[in-house]
Amino acid sequence: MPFSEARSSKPVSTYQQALQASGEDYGRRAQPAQDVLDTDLVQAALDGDFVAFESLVTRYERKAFWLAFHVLGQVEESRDVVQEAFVRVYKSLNRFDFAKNFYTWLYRIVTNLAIDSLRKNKHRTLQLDDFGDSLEHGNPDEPQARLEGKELSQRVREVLDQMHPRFRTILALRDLHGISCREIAPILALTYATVRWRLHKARQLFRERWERAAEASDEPADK
Amino acid sequence: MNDKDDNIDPRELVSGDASDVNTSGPVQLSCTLVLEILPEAVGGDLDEETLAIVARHIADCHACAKEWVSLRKAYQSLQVLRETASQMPGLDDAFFAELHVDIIGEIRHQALKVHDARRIQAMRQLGATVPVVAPRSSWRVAAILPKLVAFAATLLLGIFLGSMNGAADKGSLDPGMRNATEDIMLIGESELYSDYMRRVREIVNEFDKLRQKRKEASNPKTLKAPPAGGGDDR
Repeated sequence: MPFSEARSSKPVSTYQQALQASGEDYGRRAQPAQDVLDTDLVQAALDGDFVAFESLVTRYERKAFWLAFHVLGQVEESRDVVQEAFVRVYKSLNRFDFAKNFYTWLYRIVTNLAIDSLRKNKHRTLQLDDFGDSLEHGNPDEPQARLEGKELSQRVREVLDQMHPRFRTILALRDLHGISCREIAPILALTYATVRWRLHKARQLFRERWERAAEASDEPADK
Repeated sequence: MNDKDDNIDPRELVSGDASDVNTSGPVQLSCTLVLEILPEAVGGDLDEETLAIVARHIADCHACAKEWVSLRKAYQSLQVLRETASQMPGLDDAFFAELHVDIIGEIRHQALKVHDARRIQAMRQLGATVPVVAPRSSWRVAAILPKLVAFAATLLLGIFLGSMNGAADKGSLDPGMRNATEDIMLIGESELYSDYMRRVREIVNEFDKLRQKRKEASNPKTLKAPPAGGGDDR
């Protein structure tokens, strides 16, 4: 029995409507429009439509990667974390709470995995290779502003790496990804007040360390 | 990701006396209170009204303005990290396309495993025997181990029964020995051990036959009459 017939008794989801409107058969590879809700894609995936789940992956893989990267600062580790996060989401999709946001759930898994990864590699040092071209041997044709931006971002990365994962994570979520404190609360399994307090402390700590690092880097130049 | 809901009353942020907020005339905040909420202000986590009050205070207060500039610089440096991260060499569309393929490939692999597990579970619920196929390399040792144990048990059983050859004449096998054999036979229900267990049964049967013959030989009542020609006197 075709899948669409099997679901005929159920209300047609936005996802199905979008696919039907685009002339695509249900189940064929298609990228749903942005107005298709995550929950519709999750429901379709639960009904056996793998393409719907792939659409969720497409929708969030970059964001999830950057979140992991901003916490970890390592490309390969971030890549592993994102892959593992999606696998976990897929395996436990039947436990998804439709009353909540999908990305909140995904980001929670990503942040937890990233923090676990940080704990496992507690004593690792920053790998400059992750910043691509060596800063000292950058492309001479590259605009100066861009080189300065790279150098600056490397310094920021070094400061972030010295911070506790809790503070690093909240800075990544709020200041680098622009996720509101109310949305961060369920991601980190904290109360709203705790998120506000932690963000407050994280910004203060970052500022202190940032200034200390800036002073340290200026010292040799002064001598 | 709008943060409109995050607007807060600055008085909620401090545990100090609420009288810090002067509510008469244009709202003025004390330096203590302003310094407390500045980290929120730099990230735009305050409502516009509170931000305006903070801005008014900073315009008149050099110490708080200095603090504001310091926090603002640190906050802006974080934004640089966000902007430059996407320009990192190697983290381009090709990288994300490869990442997508990896993620989907791994999930499909996991999906097959989940599907197989569910299929096997459904078959077992229906009472079907599910063959074990292609065990993973990590399971090979675990799969061989019971065979080795069964083989060793068979050997020991044979030696033990052999040593009991004389004792068996007194009667049947020790009940404990019978139980042990049955236990092994229960294990032997598995196809993996059937060969070994067939050997065990053959050995047990051989011993039973041997014991029966000896019983018959030693029991004078069951002795057959000698042939008419008499025995061989040699």
